[in-house]
Amino acid sequence: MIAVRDHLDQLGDTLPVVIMFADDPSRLAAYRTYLDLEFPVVADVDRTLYRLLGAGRGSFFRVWSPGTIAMYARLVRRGRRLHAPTEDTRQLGADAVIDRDGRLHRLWLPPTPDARPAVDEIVDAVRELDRR
Amino acid sequence: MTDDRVIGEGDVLPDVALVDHEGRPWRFSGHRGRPLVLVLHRHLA
Repeated sequence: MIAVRDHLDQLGDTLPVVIMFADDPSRLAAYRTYLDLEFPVVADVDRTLYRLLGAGRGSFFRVWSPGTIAMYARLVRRGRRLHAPTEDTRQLGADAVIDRDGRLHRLWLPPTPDARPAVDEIVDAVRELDRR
Repeated sequence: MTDDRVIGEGDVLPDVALVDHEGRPWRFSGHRGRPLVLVLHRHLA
């Protein structure tokens, strides 16, 4: 989401939305402030959207792959403070582009936490909407 | 991981009831007319 935040100028009038399954909105607000996000951070407490999009739970070894560990190490080196998670660490994420009519245009289901799409892929998918 | 996706590309996203960072209800239907980029996060680390 930081990459999306840093490329807002390439997304036109697109609204990014960060979705989490934490059940305490005050934590969402703190997270939004911490990352200096100007777009909504919303909670999907029962993970309905995750299920609809097929964002499943990964195995322990898939979630804590060498790539995942390397990703967290990079974040720490950049000064990010990590906290012990209280949520389901095996829940995998997803990224999606929704068109102006509310249709799912593009969906990425990363098999591991470190395999999220490059922001350029997301920007390209958004630009495809204007070429249709 | 199993692929139990029930919607695919081209399908209308159901209007899932979400709650925003201020505790207010948030729905996709309230934002039709502009594209959305959804980032489904994992956990708050």
